[in-house]
Amino acid sequence: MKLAQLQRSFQAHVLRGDPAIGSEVAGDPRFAVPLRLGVYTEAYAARLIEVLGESFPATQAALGGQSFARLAGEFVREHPSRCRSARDYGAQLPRWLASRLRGPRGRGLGDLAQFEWAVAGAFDAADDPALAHASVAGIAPAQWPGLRFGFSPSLRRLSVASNCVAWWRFACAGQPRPGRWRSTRTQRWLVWRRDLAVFYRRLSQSEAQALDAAIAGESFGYWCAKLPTPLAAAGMLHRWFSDGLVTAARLEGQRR
Amino acid sequence: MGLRDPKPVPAATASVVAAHPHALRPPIRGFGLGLRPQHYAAVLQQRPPLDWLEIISENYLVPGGKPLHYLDRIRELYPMVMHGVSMSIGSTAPLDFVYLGRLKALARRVRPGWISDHLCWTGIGGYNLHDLMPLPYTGEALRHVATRIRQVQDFLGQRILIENVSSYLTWRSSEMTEWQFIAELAAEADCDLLLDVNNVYVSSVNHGFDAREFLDAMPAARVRQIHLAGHSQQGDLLIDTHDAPVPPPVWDLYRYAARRLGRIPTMIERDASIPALAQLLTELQRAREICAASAARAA
Repeated sequence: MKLAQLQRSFQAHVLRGDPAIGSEVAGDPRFAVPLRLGVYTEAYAARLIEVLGESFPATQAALGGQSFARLAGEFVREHPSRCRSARDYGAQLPRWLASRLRGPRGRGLGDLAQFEWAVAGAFDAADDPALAHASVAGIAPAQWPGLRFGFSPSLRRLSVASNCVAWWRFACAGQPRPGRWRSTRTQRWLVWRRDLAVFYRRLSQSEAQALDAAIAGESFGYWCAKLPTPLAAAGMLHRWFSDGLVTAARLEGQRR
Repeated sequence: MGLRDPKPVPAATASVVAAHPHALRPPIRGFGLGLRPQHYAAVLQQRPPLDWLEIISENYLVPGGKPLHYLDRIRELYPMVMHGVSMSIGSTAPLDFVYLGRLKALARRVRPGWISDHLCWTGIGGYNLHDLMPLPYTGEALRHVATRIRQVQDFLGQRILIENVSSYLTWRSSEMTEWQFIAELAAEADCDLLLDVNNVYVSSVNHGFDAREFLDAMPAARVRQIHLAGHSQQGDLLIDTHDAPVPPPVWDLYRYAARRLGRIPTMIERDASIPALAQLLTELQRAREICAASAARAA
């Protein structure tokens, strides 16, 4: 068998259990061919289940080890890896969990996994030093409406509708176990890294809208006008600077 | 991971990166360890007596954050070599030059003594099996892999080291032994070798060959590095899990390798059930002693 065909056939065995490759493996009295092939098929699944456990430790804790392993195994069978790095595997798990389990628990576990995926993404996002608030202090008031901001590459915005963060705090921050999964009104959260520490906080609806607009490149004047008062915008901006979210500020016509 | 609720913190200032002391590739001699995140703090605080460190390249092919932060600090203290797990040099899929470009950029940052990867393939058609899949030892595979190693070496601008893997099956189509394949490949591709003594032992048990015959066939001038590790047992098969101390049969084989090959830079690989750094240093001391005694005897 040619090399390319052998690799296709072996991969089909590992991913889908296709038996054709068995005839290409030398058998011997000590170890039967299925045993030898099984080392590779089992290692593939075990490796990805382990990776999912590392990326979603709170989801694993909330489900319990056995349930998580069973569900992760199902997920792995349905989602052969196309990721160059195993650490990138699992992006579809939040949505898959929500649809697989359904109800408040499924929704909550999907939200929890989404929260954890945001944390994992912030962890090794690109470094970009935070800008000091003082750096915009000298800008003339007339120029402020045209001011645009750049944000930390680690910043992740997400919306959830469950008590998933209480579950995350239970699993990862030693807080009491929530009684049950509950659906809630939409909650907007922000996850980001500053230096080496990952932070998170909840956003009000108005701050989430303003931040989303600012992230999209809208000017200060644009998103400020959508807030009840200019003072609210000033307060939000002050918080974004003090949280270390802002990494760039540029005026109309200024290059990035 | 330092995850916590936000609190006011001083504004970050732009970091100043010191000029790297190893502007050129540093000489790698003596004994090292695989650098693992569990030991970042201990390495920085204790400055353990290590001659060099090996990094898993893929762990640092990330945009930023903790891995690169620690890498930059530790590389100022120790010479490094880069060891990859996903080059997929034996795959029939095209070489991934995006990956190779990132590897080259990392090498510019690290200035490693050398770059290594495994004699295996990891997937085709866009899929990744995240494992070191075995090749058939055929003339076709040899020519294919040699051509790709040459392409990689041309791209990276340096010779690479290829490591023998543990394997659990033998292909009927193989036309030569693994050690014949490796020796011919090294000559054909003009590459160097990373000899994993544990992998030789694991495969020798799984396939029933004489591990010393394997070592005898290695072209000594091309063996630049040795890996030592532990393994586990699954029934009567040995599995290369790197989750245990180096066991007696692997030490014995290392003793034989040191006699035959001399003082080759040697390190211990541990990837699971990772113990305290002190325990690995104790294990490494044993490698130093075995190597010194064996090389002296050979001389």
